[in-house]
Amino acid sequence: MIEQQTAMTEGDIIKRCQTGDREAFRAVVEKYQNVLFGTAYLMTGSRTIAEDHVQEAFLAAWKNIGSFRPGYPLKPWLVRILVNKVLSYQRTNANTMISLDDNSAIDPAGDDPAEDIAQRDQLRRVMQSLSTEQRQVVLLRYFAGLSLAETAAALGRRQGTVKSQTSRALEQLRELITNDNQS
Amino acid sequence: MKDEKNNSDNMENKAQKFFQKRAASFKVGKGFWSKLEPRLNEKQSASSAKRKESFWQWLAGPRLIAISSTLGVLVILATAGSLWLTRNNNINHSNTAGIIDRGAIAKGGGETYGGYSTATTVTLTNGMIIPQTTPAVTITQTSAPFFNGDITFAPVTTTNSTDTTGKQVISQASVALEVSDVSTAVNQVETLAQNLGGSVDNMSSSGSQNQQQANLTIRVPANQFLAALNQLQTMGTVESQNINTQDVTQQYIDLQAQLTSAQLEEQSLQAILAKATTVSDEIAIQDQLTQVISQVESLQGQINYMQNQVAMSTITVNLTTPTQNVGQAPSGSLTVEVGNVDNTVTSVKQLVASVNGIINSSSVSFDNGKESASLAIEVYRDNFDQVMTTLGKKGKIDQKTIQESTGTQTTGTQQSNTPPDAMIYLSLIQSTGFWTAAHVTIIIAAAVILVVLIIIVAAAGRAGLLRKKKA
Repeated sequence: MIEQQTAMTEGDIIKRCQTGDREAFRAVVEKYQNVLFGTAYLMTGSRTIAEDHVQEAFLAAWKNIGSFRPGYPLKPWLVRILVNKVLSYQRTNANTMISLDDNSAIDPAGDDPAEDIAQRDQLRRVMQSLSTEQRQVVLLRYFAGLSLAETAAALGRRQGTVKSQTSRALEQLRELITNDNQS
Repeated sequence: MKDEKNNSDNMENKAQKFFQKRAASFKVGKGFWSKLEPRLNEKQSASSAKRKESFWQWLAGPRLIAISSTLGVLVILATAGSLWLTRNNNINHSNTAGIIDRGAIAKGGGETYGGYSTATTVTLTNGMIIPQTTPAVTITQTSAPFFNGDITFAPVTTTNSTDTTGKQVISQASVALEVSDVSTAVNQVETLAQNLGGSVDNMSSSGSQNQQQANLTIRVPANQFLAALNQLQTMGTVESQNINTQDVTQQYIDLQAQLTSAQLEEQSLQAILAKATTVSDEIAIQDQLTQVISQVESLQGQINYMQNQVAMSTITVNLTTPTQNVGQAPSGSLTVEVGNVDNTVTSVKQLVASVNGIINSSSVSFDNGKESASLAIEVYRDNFDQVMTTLGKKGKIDQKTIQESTGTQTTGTQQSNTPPDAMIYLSLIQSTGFWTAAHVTIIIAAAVILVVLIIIVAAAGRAGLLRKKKA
């Protein structure tokens, strides 16, 4: 019931965006900027590049919002745009890829709580232990919260592939995750 | 199995919790919106340029090849088609120019009318040729020799009087008129007679719907004789006209003299009879008197009749609808180069059947690997031009001769009883030319196949590119 209300509200916001309402779009940006940023960051390993990608993704979304059908969930669409941006960037800049173990995740503004930094650090290390494909799949499924089908669509893979990659990744992370949940 | 699934669900939930717990720690830098907002403008204004750019991107590659190849093929086809049409038009044109000579040679017998560029000629039975553009209707073929249109009847006017000069003239005429509708014409003639103070003496009509005929004998006052003839002349085409004037003055005078003498004799016999004394004398005089009286009556009768004949002119009017089988049927001969003789023969047969024509003879022969056919076709005169034109379109015309109909009426229609009698001698020879319909068809088919192939290749190429892109 609550979900439906949220969806309706989101639908209304999208309709307003489609009429060129920037305040409505601002609401969209503020709602999804962090999840997109996290996804981009964990994919690229660079805070600056991740922010650029998020910005580009939102610009593309703003440009194409007219073709979006209100009533459909917005997040998978945005994530898909972002993933396309990141992947296309990574394809053309394969050599300049930044490793995940740099410290660029720290907000230059500086008022990051120490706990946040620790959390991010941990996740970064977890991701590092996975292959690129597995990382992408896990990121979209559990970090961005996309369904199996949405993940498959965003990555341009078959659902079966995504499923097997997910289970293999989870197998790898089993110990870590179990320990964490117990703690 | 169930345990496995529960296990995996459990693991999924744990993973979800694990990641969501840490997701909150990822925050985009402050002032993200303020950095993004100005770019929304730039994005919108640049969108049209982007769209143009994306159009060219869309067009580039296989699409461009496909579109340009298609356009190229279309241009080739259009050029080939126009060349073909131009060539065909030229053929028709040159043949039109050549017809008149062949026409004159083919069934000549008359002099060729010079100075006309028109293709067809009309030959009259008397051998005179006039161009088709001249309305042939104005010239009648078997008109009475003395009658040539605006006749003045000079001799009749001077003799057509009984009172002024004392001359007794009986005027009679017979007129054969061709009219479109006999019954209407009969009514017109009746009205004419009544209007001129005359009457219809006799009327008979006969004939079917297509060929009606009526004979009328009208009497009009002698002084209206010419007027009657002139008016009759306007009712239709004068086929023949015969005017007969008989001067009966001498006979009339003779009859009058005989009558006077007989009357005098009658009077004297009456006087003698009155003076007769004996019965035998009386009987003898009576006998003679009876003879004389009978003679007087007879003479009076003849005089009355003659006076009547002089006073009222007799005109016999013969009305007919345009006659059948007047003139000669049109005929033509045609040699056409075609791509496929057999197919053309079949289509010609269909064409002839569609206009209820007859194919008199049809023969197909092979000579040096080339097929040829000759057909003798008979069609209704009405369909002659149409059939000739259609046959001419079957291919390249090598030779064409037309002998036009000499008939002035629209005879030989399918409705009339006349059989189709317009002859067409058709020769079909296998074409040696390049641009036959078959060739054009093959070229079009090849072009279509080429376009389809290009599209398939382009689509395949694009699909390959996409796959590569994804990979």
